[in-house]
Amino acid sequence: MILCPHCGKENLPQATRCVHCGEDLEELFRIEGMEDNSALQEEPDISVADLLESFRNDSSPKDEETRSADSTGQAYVSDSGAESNAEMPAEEEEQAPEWLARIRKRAQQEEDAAGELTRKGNSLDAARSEDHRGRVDEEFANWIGRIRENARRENLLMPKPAINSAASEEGVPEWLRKVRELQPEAEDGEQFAEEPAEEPAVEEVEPEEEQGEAAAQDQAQETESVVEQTSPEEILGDTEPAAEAVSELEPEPEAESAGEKAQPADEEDSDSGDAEELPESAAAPQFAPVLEELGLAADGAALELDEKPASSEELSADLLLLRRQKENAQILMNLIGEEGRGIPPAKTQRVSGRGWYRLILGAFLLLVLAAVLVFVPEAKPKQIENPAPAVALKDVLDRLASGDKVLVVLEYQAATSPELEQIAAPVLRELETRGAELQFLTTHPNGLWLADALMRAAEIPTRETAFLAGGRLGVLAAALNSEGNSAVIPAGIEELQKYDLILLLEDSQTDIQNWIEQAGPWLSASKLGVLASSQNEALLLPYYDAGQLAGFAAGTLQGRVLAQALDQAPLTSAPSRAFQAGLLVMIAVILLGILSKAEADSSARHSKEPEA
Amino acid sequence: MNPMDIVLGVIGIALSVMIFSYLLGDNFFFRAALYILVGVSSGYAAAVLVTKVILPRLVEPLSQNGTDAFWLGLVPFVLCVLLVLMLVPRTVKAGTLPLAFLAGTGAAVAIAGISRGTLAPQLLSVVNRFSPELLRANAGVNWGGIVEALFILLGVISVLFYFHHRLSRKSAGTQRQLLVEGISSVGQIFLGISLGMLFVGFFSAALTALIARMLWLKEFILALLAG
Repeated sequence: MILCPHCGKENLPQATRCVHCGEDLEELFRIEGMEDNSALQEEPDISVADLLESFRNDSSPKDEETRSADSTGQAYVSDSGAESNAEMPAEEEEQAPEWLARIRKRAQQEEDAAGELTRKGNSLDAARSEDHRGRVDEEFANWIGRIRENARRENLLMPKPAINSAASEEGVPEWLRKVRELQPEAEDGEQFAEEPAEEPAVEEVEPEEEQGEAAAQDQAQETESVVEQTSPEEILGDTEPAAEAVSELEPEPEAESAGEKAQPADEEDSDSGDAEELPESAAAPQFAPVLEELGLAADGAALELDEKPASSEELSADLLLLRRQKENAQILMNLIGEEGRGIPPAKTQRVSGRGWYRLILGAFLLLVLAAVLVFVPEAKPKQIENPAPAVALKDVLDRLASGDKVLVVLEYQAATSPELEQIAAPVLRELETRGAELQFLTTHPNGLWLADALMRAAEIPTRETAFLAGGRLGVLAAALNSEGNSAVIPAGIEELQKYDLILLLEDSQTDIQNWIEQAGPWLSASKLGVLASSQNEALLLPYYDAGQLAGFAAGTLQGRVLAQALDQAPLTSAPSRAFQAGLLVMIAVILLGILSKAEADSSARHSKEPEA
Repeated sequence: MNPMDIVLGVIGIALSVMIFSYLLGDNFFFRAALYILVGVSSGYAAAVLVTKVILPRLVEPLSQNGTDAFWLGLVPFVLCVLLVLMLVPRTVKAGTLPLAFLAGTGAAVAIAGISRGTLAPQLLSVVNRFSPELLRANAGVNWGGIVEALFILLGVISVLFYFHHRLSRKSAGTQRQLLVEGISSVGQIFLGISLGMLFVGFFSAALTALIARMLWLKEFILALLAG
């Protein structure tokens, strides 16, 4: 371990920068007394001969004599050399670098220490003539170049160690990124790793790591152990508030989810949105109202915990990195919660005054009906001319004998049940009197309990009502059930052709059309009769004229006519006066509406004419 | 009048008044009554469908292992499962198969039924109006039958003109001829008469229901007062 001269903390021996403060540690590697080694770094192609020549030039002038003697094969360093060193002037002794002075001093003490080296160098120089000197240098440079080329190829062909996969594109090792994330303020202030001038300092570490995978991993492990063993206070600095460090941390959520505890700072900035590029402490007040408005605000407790930690010891690196995860998880949960919710309908502005008209008209109608029902006595029913469809239906009913099968189909809602019960009850009573075999069928679930009410109103024995599911398809299946063994048709219901009359009790034109269109073509025209509410009279007439219906009675008025024709009393005393009063009110309202609309149009036309 | 009738009657009166409160505009009471109606109807319909359709036609065949009913029951069962998968957002597409089956079958049945049960008989009815048997009466001419047949034919043609040229005017915006405009106007008259008759029918049905409800209220109050 080496100590940082700046902060005094321990670093790895091969570290070029202090992992705590980022201080350059290259001075620890400098040879003492060697002031300027940049010359050697900048001139890596200097030959050995030139290097030795520089050594010679540093020697005293008297060495020239010994250098001339070297050519004869004598030893370069000899006693004469020592004597000459002894005679060296004091100024030159002071000007010489300290390391050279040490070498000279040691050479004086140990002859072999410098003698062997210098002898070999001198013999090399002796073998080299002036003519061959340039060629040797060229061959030496080529040889060095080939060695470097081979080394470079081997490096390219060698598989990358696992530790390099975690490094960023800029070659920043993982341990350094982790240190940067834990100490972002140092990164912002000094930018020691991202400065282009200092890039080689980082790259100097990598070749060492690439030389051996085991060595690199050991180094990384040692580095990580140093970081992990270092307490948060030491990492963040004693004088620095922990919350400030927390607020400035912006780790990458995706990498955290994958188990990686660190990501390159540059990648993090590029992946993050605009909001995340700002320091979180500064961005939080800006985004808080927006997030609250969108319902995406993070949990308040979590933010409070992150902004005001209880103690710095509780803030391990893992917890700090999970903070962004927590916020993103909260946002994701909010988004999932909003999923599937319908957009609230836009509120339409109501025209003021319409409600009052509606209230006045509705209250007026109710008051008129109530007054008629309470105070006006019921008039005797007039003998009116029998409508042709009702007469036709009466003829069909008259032809029925005892034991004939009649299928009563109920397809109406509870709202129209009073009207339909008034029409159908006399008919059902007549059929029961004639001894017809009645069967009840419904395609609406409501028909199950409405059938019971109808049978009670008609004062006939209660029978079970079958339920035919499938709507239009069910009707078609019943019409095509020639063998009577279809699983779709409820038990007890036979083939439709076997019924002498199919009596439809309808309040919906869709249901009427279903029976006429799906079952009608498979039945004879005399087997389909309809008792319907008054709103369906207009629809039934064309079918009756086309011969697709045996007859029908629509509305209470025709129902009363039919009951009189069958010698059956109407169900109840029909409030004909109230009905007439209601029709009169509605006619008056329609006329008022027509007049007011015409007046509004004319006034609008008059207002446009002066402008034109 | 027993207590249960009184309770039910009071509930009925309350619900009727809540519905009538719509005269004051859309309010809480009206919506509450509406929700009660929809909820009760849906619950009752669901109960009926379970007991009358699902259990006897889907579950019961599947309990008869190895029979023909079992194998036939597998088809609706699989279609039902695919339909249930639509509840999960990831498997919504699985429900397209039964829905496509239903839509295709329903459309085919509807088209066949309309053409066979409405279009063809109605066209034949218009044509048959001009049959010699109908236009001849007692070795003479049945002028009334002829006028009626012409009137019906005019109504059919004019209404068809109106709808056809209404659509073409929307799409092209071209100037129509005077004859076509006249026939379309006649078609509008026929349509107005038909819609007016429909409106009267709807209003009569609604008025009948309203009168019946008010009559029931009157009788209930009188019975309550009579004890």
